[in-house]
Amino acid sequence: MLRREKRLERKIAKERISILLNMADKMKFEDYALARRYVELAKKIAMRYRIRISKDQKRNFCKKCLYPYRHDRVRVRVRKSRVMITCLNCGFIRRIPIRPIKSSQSKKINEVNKK
Amino acid sequence: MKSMKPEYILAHEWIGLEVEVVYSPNQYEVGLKGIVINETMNTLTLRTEEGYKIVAKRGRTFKVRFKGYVLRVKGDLIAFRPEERIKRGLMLIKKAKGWW
Repeated sequence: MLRREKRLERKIAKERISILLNMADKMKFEDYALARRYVELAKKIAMRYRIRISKDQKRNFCKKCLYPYRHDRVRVRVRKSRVMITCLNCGFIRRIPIRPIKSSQSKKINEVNKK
Repeated sequence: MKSMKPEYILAHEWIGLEVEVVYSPNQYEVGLKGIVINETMNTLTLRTEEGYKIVAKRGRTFKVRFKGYVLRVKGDLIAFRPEERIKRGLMLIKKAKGWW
């Protein structure tokens, strides 16, 4: 029996996901459908090799139709302590809650600001 | 970019790489040069100077520039779905090296 090297697989998968998402970001003004294809591929790889797409990367595309967010295809408003992002391709509304900063975090931010 | 071995091309991302068709049963395809734009199980889409060209993977040989190396890759070795190629490609490398 041949054994899979899962660690190596996941390492390569991570690199591929970051490449694809960067490419999607570059391509979204040239060819929107192609940018969506890159996001789709990145998601497929992430699902197959059980890799999380980080929070920052996740918020760059629509969860439902996978089109990358583009300023002319999106509406953003802040309401009831959450950011609401409406995708104009599919109409899906994503709500991101805004929580008050914890005291420990705010201390850190203050320290950084002082420096 | 941490995984540096050139044979990992079989498992790695082809979108965004520079590719040239070196051998093909169709003589008009030989010499096509461009950047890979899209990939499916059986085809690569290249952006060349004359526009987008779709080339089948099976039966062709490609010349690729990958992380500083210039490699010749047989298309039959990458004829899997792009997301499946990580698993299958690494298996192919292992089989070729003879680790049973």
